[in-house]
Amino acid sequence: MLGRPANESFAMIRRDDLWIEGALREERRAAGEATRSWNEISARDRIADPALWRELTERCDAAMDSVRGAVALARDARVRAIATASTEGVEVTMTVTLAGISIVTAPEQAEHDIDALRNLLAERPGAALPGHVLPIVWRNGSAAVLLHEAAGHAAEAGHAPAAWPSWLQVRDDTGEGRSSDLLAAKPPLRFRRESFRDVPLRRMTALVAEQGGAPFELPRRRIEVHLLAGGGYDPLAETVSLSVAVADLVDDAGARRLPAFALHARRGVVARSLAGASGDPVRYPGVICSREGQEIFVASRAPVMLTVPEAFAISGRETA
Amino acid sequence: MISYRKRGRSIRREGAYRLIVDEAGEALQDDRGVFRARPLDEELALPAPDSDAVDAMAREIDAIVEAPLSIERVIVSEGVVEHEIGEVRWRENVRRIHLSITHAPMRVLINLAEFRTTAIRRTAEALARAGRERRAPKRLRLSDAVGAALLPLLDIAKVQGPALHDGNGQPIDERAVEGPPPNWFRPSYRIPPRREWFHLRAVPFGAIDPGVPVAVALLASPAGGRVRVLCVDRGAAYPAIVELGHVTAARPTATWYPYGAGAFGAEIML
Repeated sequence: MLGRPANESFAMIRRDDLWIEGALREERRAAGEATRSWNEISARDRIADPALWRELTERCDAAMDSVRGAVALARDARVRAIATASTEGVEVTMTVTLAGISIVTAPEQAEHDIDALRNLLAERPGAALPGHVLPIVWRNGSAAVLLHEAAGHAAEAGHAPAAWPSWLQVRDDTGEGRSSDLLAAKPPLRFRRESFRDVPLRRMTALVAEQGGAPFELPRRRIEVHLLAGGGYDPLAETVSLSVAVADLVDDAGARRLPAFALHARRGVVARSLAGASGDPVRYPGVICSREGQEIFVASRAPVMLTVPEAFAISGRETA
Repeated sequence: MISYRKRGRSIRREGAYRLIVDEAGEALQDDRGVFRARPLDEELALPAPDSDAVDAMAREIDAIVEAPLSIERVIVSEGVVEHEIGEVRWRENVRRIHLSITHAPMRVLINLAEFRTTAIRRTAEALARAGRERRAPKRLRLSDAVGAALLPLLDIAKVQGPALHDGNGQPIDERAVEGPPPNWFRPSYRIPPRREWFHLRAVPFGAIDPGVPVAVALLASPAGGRVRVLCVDRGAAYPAIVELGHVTAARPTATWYPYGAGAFGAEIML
């Protein structure tokens, strides 16, 4: 949905299944529609038009069928698959959790992403968290999460642009051929909602970060971030918080796995800390964005990026 | 096979929106423990909630929160809910206010289960004149609203308050909060029920000193045994970080708050 017509209607069918170690444990179905007239929304968990109900049900069932093969790839995992067919399109996400670490993927990317997760979780020597923050290399598209919080949510909140590097572009694509420049504090164009019973809000759809002519030199000693467990943006304090799930300490001794840790920084400091980037955008496996109690999938891509130490306060269970 | 059905009509003011939502759904748990939830696709025979009360409450909150304060988030709702499990049916009316008010860089969080503005006015007045952060006073009283929010985290004697039905339609008996909870909580038909203590109430002990500074509101959710609160000390109001350590007195109040499966207000002396 682009713009704000005075009146609109929305209908959706959703299936939400949870498999644990290959066995179905939870199965939810939802159906409903909402009509909005100006700022008043009437919602009901029925779809009045039988033809629309049939069409959305068939599309939702087909989407969920596409997940089953991917579930079989991860019989040792916890897999939550959500298929939604709505008047705005079809979306399928799979949240795959292995050893307490989660990714969010789609059926067509599941095999690749689950293999990559297994590789990331392979045994390797451990290291204590450094007592001070090192340069951070954001691999695996993970810089998209940093920019989602520091640029995307700031744009949603209407905050003024920060001093971003000139080699960086970050936009939100609607999927309908339009985009907004998040670094220029242009808010996302689409209004999205988790379900028929929710208020549609300006939310990101697909964040794409790109670099053009950025510097990039790998520091000899660095932290390499691969996966995040979550993130947040406080619009009042303009601070970014990230929970890092998988990261390595890399130096002359090789790569050693760090315990989970958290990073905190003000948005302006994040912008100043961006010291380089390399290559094309890489798809990050998973951002489920929660705002106003509504969880929505946001596709995310970013190149390998480098931040310098000034940026973050680090906290974790063990430091050395 | 356990079947639980829930039907509800609600009116909710959320920011600038007014939402009217009708829902009816069923949760099933089979003998192998597989949980299933689906809409019932039926006409609702429930009375409409009091939309005038919701609108009036939302307007009143708007009027209370004046510059330099602003409303960051407001949800005011009223619902009529019917539960059915086996032969047991019961109905309840539910009112909720979830409010965050800001006075940059501070944010207070208020959660209420009744349409009364006394606590909102008191908190807004303190937030409007709040100064810079100070060290927490040596002796501090938590207001009943703050105490209710923190009750699960406090190492004091608590009891479960009695009620007619838990999420499985069983009676909730008054008992000391010890060991695993005996009752089941269903915040929604869409999620599996979980064991939870209902209507937590502090067991009174010690003496509350009304002369010491009081924490009137949460400024953040508690984390790591600490919480940031808005303190009022005679004419002064300020934020402070409080360690949730030794409690010297507790006194329950009659106000019920929508935390977990419910908690009664608790004035607490730290």
